[in-house]
Amino acid sequence: MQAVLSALPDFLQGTLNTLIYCLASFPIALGLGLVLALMCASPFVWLRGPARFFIEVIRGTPIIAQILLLYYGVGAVLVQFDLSTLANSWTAGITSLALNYAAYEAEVFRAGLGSVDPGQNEAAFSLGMTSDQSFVRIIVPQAIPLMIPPLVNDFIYMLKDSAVISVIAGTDLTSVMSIYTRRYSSDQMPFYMLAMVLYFALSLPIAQIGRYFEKRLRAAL
Amino acid sequence: MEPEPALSSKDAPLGQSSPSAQMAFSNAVEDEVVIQATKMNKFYGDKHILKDVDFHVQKREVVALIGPSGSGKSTLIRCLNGLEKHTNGEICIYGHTLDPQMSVKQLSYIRREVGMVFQQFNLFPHMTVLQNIIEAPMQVRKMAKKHAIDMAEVLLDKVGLASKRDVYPNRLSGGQKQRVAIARALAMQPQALLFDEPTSALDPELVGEVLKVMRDLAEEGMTMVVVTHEMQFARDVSDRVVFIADGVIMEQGDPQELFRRPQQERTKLFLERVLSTLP
Repeated sequence: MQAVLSALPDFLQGTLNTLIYCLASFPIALGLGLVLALMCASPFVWLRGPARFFIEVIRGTPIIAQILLLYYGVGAVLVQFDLSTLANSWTAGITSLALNYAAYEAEVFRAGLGSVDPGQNEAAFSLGMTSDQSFVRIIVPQAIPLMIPPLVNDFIYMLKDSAVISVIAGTDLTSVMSIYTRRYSSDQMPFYMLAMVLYFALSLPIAQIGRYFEKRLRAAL
Repeated sequence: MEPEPALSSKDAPLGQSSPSAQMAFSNAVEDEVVIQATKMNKFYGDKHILKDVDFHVQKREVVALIGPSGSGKSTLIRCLNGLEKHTNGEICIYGHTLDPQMSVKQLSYIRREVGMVFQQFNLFPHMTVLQNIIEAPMQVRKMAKKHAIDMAEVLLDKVGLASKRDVYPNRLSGGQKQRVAIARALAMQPQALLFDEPTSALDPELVGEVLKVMRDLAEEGMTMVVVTHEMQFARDVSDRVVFIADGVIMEQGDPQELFRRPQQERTKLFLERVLSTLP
């Protein structure tokens, strides 16, 4: 018990770092995901093709392999170009989470935008609005409430998936946990449980916030 | 826009006075063709939906399109504002030639002239009634917000929904939704309005309030093309009825005339089925 209490500050720092990893990665994933979704909807195959390929490769390979490839593979390349300051577990962790989740968020955007009634576009066009005007003013505002639950879900998945950063010796919660479980190898259970409690404490309020916003935005639909 | 449309011999001459008092509106019809489709064809894959359709509308005219479901009525009016791409033939709308290759941006200039009202209303659910109405005038016509709101209030008054201006569409009945949709289309100050079965999705007791608004518009001289199953509206309000079956304009003419003495067998059969309920 004494050991767990003394470990608590490190674990809390790890929790904070996990949150920072995700808060940095998720917006990038959203932006990139939107670009991918729009590329997938493009009539041009030279836009659609690469986007589809990226999405399928990311979804079809384990994130742990992706992060190792980024950290050791891209890291080695960066060192070659005298950019070794960029080759650390923070950049590798954030980049791999962002790239990985961009593929999933692209699917969320595609589904969300696709589920708005096509009659809405027709009404906007019939009033003389252009595709861009209809997209921004009519389609997107209706798609957002539909996309919030899957996006919140994905953010919670990301909080947990960020544990893979521990394989490249990061500073996230699971990395901290593995330091302690190695140090106290005869009595690891309390550290595992402490980590789980902290992950749970992160994800629960996020789910609540998501539900609140969904309810508010959906009210009019 | 000057040349007269090629009318087939069975057409009743337009504007010729009929002994009915209900034909009062047709006096206003002007001898100027504003919407014209010539030899228009539409295919879905290899399904031939519209076959060599010649269709025209004159200024201030109210044209009712009737016919069995699946006959191509809706496809026809959806081609007139480019929501459907016709396969070949010519469409001319207020002097603009409507080409199937046109982009949404190019079509915008035609669509500003020709508004559309849908069976399913298609109001924007994330906007209030007022926002629904001022959206396009502000975005497309770049109208100042204050001006747009003033105009919207006049239009809401006209369709009898002034009290609903800050309400979201999900709080409205079907009839109210459709009246807002009409006000929204009018806010673009179009020259003509296309109605795609505007009362087909309504509960029977709500049909009247929408038809009333449409009747008022007709009386004011709005040019209208109405796809409808409301035979009473077609008979009493329209200047000309066009009967379509299997993608072909079978017969058209003065509503009283056509309802009393249909020339074609198909028209007779159709009218017998739908007119039995009319007073």
